[in-house]
Amino acid sequence: MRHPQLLVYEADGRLAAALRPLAEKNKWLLREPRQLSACLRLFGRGGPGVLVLRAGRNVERELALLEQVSWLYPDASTVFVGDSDQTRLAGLAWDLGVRWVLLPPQTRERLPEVVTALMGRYQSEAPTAGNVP
Amino acid sequence: MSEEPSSGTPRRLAKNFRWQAFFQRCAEPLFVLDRRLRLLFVNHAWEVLTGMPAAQAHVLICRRSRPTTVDDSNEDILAHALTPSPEVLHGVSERIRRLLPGRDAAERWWDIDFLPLRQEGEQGGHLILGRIRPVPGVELAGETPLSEKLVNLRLRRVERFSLDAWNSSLPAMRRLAAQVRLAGQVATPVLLVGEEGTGKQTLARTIHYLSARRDGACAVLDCERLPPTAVAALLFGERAAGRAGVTAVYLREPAYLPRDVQLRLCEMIARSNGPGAEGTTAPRILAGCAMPPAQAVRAGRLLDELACALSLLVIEVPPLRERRSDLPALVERLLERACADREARVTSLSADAWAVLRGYVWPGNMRELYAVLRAAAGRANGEQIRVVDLPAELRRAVEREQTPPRPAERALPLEQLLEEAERRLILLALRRTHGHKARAARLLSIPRPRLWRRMLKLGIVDTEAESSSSVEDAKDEE
Repeated sequence: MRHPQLLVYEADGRLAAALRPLAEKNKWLLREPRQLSACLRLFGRGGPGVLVLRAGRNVERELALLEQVSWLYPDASTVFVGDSDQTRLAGLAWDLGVRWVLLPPQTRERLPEVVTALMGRYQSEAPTAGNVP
Repeated sequence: MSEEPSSGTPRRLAKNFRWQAFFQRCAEPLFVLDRRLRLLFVNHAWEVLTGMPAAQAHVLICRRSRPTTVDDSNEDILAHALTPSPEVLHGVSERIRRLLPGRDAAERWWDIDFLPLRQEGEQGGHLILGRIRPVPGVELAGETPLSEKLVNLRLRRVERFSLDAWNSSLPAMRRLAAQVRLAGQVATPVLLVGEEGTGKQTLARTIHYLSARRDGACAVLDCERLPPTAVAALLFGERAAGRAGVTAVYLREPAYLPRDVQLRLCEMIARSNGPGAEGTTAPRILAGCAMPPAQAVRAGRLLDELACALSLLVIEVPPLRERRSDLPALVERLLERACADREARVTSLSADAWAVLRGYVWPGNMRELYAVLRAAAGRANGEQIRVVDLPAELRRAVEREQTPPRPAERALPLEQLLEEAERRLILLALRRTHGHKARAARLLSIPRPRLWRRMLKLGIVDTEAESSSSVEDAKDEE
């Protein structure tokens, strides 16, 4: 059985560091792709999971990736993490199909709680013809 | 723009009525499509609206099934926006909301009335008159305008949730489309009821993008998975930053919310739909349940008050097994989607693969169909999916379904079988002893009176013994 994967795309690795103990405890595959195209490839090969994306320098490409993931992998979950000056992007992120938007005043402490809840879906999902290889 | 009818103008229409001059004077943008869906005529208001001269418009063919992409030109986007639905092609008038590129290169929402024009004695399709009306207050820009690329990204996303994708000839699906259109015109809560994977979330987005609040975002909250505190913070926190610009919320399985959150949700719905609701910032609530609300109430999972508040408009979404006639169109669309990120395109299925798809019951509905097609497209060696490319579990399930049921277990009546065995043994003993009862009884190790009783009970008479003996002897000789 393959373990569910948790992808974290960010510039500085802080979110991944915060989520690593949780991933180890729950036996999730924590991956930190450095390229946006790698995120799509990993979803294609490793099966559904959660993608946590922290908005960086190229917001347009990052949001386009979120849209592609939610369109091509409807079973995948995406979380958009932004800063206080990115509230205008929050609405767009919801429209693009993200499962959760984390912006201030919500604190980063909420992220593990949300990620755990979303990852639970892949640990308990019953197999169907669609997810049995 | 030329006043003379172009070469494609139907003679009957032109002869009886100077329609071009009449339409040209109309202040609203009008266009006429011919049978091949070519733009036969556009009026001056249409030219002003789109920024495209009539001479250029006449070469456009408005027959586009796929959604627009970033690489499409304005002409392609326009041709897509003016494409009539299959219902219109069958002679039914329809109003469809589409995005049209404007003169300033910005795209806006417009309502397009498609009116098929029947002509007596003419076969093979209709002329279609189109009228374009702007939808007020649907500019996509928020408080701070998004960049052009992000606006286009949202437009492409919105296009994916067109009601055209739900076209079907099935009565249940036509009713569904009508209900979705109605839901787009009102602001009340909507409850979508249907099995897992039937497309409730997609329909909720479609409703939102048809509604007057479409300029805002639609947030999808999975009440089964997300922490209730997080859901409550987004729903009731007036200043929640994550809710910026959200004008509709789709709640997946609201029965999983704690009772206090359900109660607060009831109050919020009552406030936003009651008197003095104008100016409220509360989002419109759309919800989806796999279980009918009455059943969820009886099970004690959904508050009766919330079930009532959500059930102002209930839309039942049929499962895939009841839409088997839609499979070809669904498979074509989902295959295109599944191959969107791949260089190799898979466009069809072999006959035996089709037989498997048709034979399967699809408990996971469209979600499962998409997952199967995506997996099969990944395995396919060429443009066609063969039966071996389909998941083994799917093939086995269909084989199980199609295997005729095993015949019912044969009964084993013990008394009858014992009597038959006893009868045969007595007849054999009588044959061997040439009908001598005392010797036959000895051979059977029973007293002679018992042999008599058994012979009477089993209806064996001496003649029968003799005849059967002679018959079986004859058989032995043969």
